[in-house]
Amino acid sequence: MTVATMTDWTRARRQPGWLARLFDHKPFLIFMCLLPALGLLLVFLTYPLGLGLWLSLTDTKIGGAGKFVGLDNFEYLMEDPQFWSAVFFSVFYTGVATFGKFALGLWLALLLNNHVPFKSLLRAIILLPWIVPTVLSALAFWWLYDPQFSIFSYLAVDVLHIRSKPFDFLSTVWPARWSLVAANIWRGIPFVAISLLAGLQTISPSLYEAALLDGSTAWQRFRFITFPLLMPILAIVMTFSIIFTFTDFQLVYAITRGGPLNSTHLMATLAFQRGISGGELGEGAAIAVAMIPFLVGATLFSYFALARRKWQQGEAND
Amino acid sequence: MTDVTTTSPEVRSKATVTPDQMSWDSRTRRMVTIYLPLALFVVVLLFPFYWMAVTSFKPNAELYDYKKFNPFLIGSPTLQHIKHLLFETAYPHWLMTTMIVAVCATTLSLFSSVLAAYAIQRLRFRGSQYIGLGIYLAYLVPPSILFIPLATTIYQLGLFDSPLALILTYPTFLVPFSTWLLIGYFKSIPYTPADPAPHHPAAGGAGPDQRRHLLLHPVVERIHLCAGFHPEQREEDRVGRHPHRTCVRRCLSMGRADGGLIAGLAAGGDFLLFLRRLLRLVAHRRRQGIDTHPT
Repeated sequence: MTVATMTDWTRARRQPGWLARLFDHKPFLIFMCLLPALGLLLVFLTYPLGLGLWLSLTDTKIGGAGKFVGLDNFEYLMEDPQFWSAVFFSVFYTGVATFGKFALGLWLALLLNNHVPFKSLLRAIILLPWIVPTVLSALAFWWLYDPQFSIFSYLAVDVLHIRSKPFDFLSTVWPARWSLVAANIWRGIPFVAISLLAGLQTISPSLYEAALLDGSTAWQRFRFITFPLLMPILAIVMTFSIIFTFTDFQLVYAITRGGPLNSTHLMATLAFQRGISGGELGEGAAIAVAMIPFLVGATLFSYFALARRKWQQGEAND
Repeated sequence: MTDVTTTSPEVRSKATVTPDQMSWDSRTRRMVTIYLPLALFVVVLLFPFYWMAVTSFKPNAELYDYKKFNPFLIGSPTLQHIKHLLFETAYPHWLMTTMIVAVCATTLSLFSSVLAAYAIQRLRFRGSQYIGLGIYLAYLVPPSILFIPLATTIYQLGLFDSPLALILTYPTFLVPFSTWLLIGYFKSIPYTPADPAPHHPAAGGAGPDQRRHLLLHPVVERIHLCAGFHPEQREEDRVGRHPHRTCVRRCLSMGRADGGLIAGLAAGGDFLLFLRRLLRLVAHRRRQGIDTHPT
């Protein structure tokens, strides 16, 4: 601080240049650090969100400016059976797939938490379905579900002789829906399993030892030790999983494109079809906006009901 | 393994490397409850990849005739499909575009999220936790409700039909996530004993030194972490007492090994180790109520 009054035997520090001094000014430094991230997010996230809300209230089409039409788009959608079918399938898809992913993922995590040979190798290869881009695994499933060359049909008809006809995976309503749910579960298991495994590994073995001494059963150990201690991670992983399953687009669009008979449209694929392919930007935006209440509901549920954690905002826990 | 020869649990726990194996945990039981389901999981999770790999090396004749050829095996492997892809389609061009977009978008997002996370976690200003919460919420905004307005925005900015459109929109989804992860990362670095003075630039010290603290320390500390600390801590690492440290070390070895790996796989693994580290840390802290901040 008092450089001037210091004795001469310390070598005088070179006075930093104006640029260095500017960057040492804390508010300026904070501003500069936040500028790129917040700038990007404002222009490409906040602004489009607002624009989406606005578009949903207009009759904009591709290539032409629209005018404000109030809630007309939503009123039209309320009477559109296809929209309601998409809402139904989104909820069904999210519900069943999330249940499947978490049941199987938790099981896999419990298995991997054991001492098995090649533990790290196993963990690495199990992640493959999650690391590989969704479109690629969707193509793999599309080929696996092929009406004529499906390997499952070959196994059932020609090897096991339990069916006389090939499976009809994608060309009727309910089989197509279940096939998509299965593909989604397949893709989601690794993420759930690895996240929960990370949670499992933080549980101290001494708790299990104590429970064993008290004569607990395996189920009691799971119910009263594993499950409660896993709850915080379970809550956050479930929020993410629900949100990203509900708004899934790639898997459905790559495998069925919403067919057969528009029965496998999720809200996201329907929004894309109406907005981009069909050119009705306003209507597509309205469908996208209609997803927001569901997402807010899921987020609030996880925030208030499952776990309210300060670390969600980057703070330490209470 | 040595179930017959050892009698008391203490002896066995020293003699074998499988501490969680107990006497009631017989080999058959483990086989049925662990190895069998695990093997099923691995088969189901990997089968589509095997199927794609087999498909890409099979000649068309085999591909369309399951009666004559066993579909699970390749009769006469061929590179014909790959040749077609590389020399008769625009695939090299697409690959180039993909790479450019990936490298630019990743660089841009990492640059901005490292700075933002540093500001939020280390520079600690009033309201920084609200910015943190905002970033977490931004991560929860799914891409599929944004694509229609994003397309419009890109059109308005005149970026339509250029790689720049993708390079600038991907960070929208990458920045919140990586900032959120990095906030956790910066938090996990202790305010080191080597540098007892607080990092607050307002706390004094000369300019250049401060900048060294501000910009270099996280890096230096990371190298310290990666270097594996001291030999006596290695043992702890091995038994997993310090999962985050082990993880960081593994990140490093992964980074070294990636010459031989597919870059994407390595990146994915690296990223996952980060994620795992973060989640572990979160759970750990929650249980212990530890707060690394000296405040």
